[in-house]
Amino acid sequence: MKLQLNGETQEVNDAATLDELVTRLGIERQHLVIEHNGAIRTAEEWSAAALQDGDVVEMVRFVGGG
Amino acid sequence: MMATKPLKKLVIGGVELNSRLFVGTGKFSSPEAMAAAVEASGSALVTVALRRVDVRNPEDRTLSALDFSKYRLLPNTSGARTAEEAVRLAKLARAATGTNWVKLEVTPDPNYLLPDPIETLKAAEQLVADGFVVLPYINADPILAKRLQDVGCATVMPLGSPIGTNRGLKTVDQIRIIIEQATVPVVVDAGIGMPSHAAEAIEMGADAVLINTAIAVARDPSAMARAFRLAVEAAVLAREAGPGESTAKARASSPLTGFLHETKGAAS
Repeated sequence: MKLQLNGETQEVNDAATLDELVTRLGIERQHLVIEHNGAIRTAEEWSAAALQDGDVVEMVRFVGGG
Repeated sequence: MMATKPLKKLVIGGVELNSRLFVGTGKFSSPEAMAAAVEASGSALVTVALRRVDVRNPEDRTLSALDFSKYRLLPNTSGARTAEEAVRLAKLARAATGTNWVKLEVTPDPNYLLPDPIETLKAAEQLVADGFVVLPYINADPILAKRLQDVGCATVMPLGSPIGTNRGLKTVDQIRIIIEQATVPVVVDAGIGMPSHAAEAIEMGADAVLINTAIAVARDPSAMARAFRLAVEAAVLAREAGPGESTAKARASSPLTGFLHETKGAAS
């Protein structure tokens, strides 16, 4: 399936949920937050959040800032 | 005339902060340099930004050396150009950290990064209604500061000069009016380049200052952080000490009698 991930179209075939997507991409989980089709999903919700073709996913985290 | 506004405890959103120096975590040369400087600053409140994860290069170390248990986090909405974007960022930040504090910044202009007052007010109203403790970054506009205070912002944060310029308090007269009217803490944010600027802000009645660039880009960030800490502490101490009045005419420090040139009339 195709996802719109952080503004780019990405082909993802081996992740059925947000939790699996995070694992597959090898993303550090600390202070990570995901917006899934416009709704904020906290870490506890990732394993229940099923991915579908065309979903829009934003993964953001804290960085240094003033 | 010197500021005589008495120094009250610094309480934001019901939380007492024991340092009047807030520090940013951006622009440091390494995560370790950042963590050491934050420690040296003695700050209790540190700002962070929210950005997309680079999914091709997902390891991000910028905040890895910071002990999050020691500081209260103040996520900012940097990068927001509209109220809508700022509210979205604030909600993401709250989900990522659990804190409902947010440094609201809406800066559509990339050259001077000046905050948009209308979008800031709009976002502040929505965020306050949604339960956020809102610390808005604003131009030094007393009317705007009052409007933000009236809609329930926890502080107002006027700029001294544009972000990252190190130019000091170019807006000093406006900041003075903001301080005079404020019923919430006034935090001078942006443009403070030297410890003397920070001291000046606190001496004139500001409740706190927020520094990032001046510390981060110094050759020795930890030493500069300590310099800012001492400057802020010195200014706080001076406020507590009760400064004397400033006057136009000289007032002698020694008695105005017993001068050598004095002559008395001849004895009769």
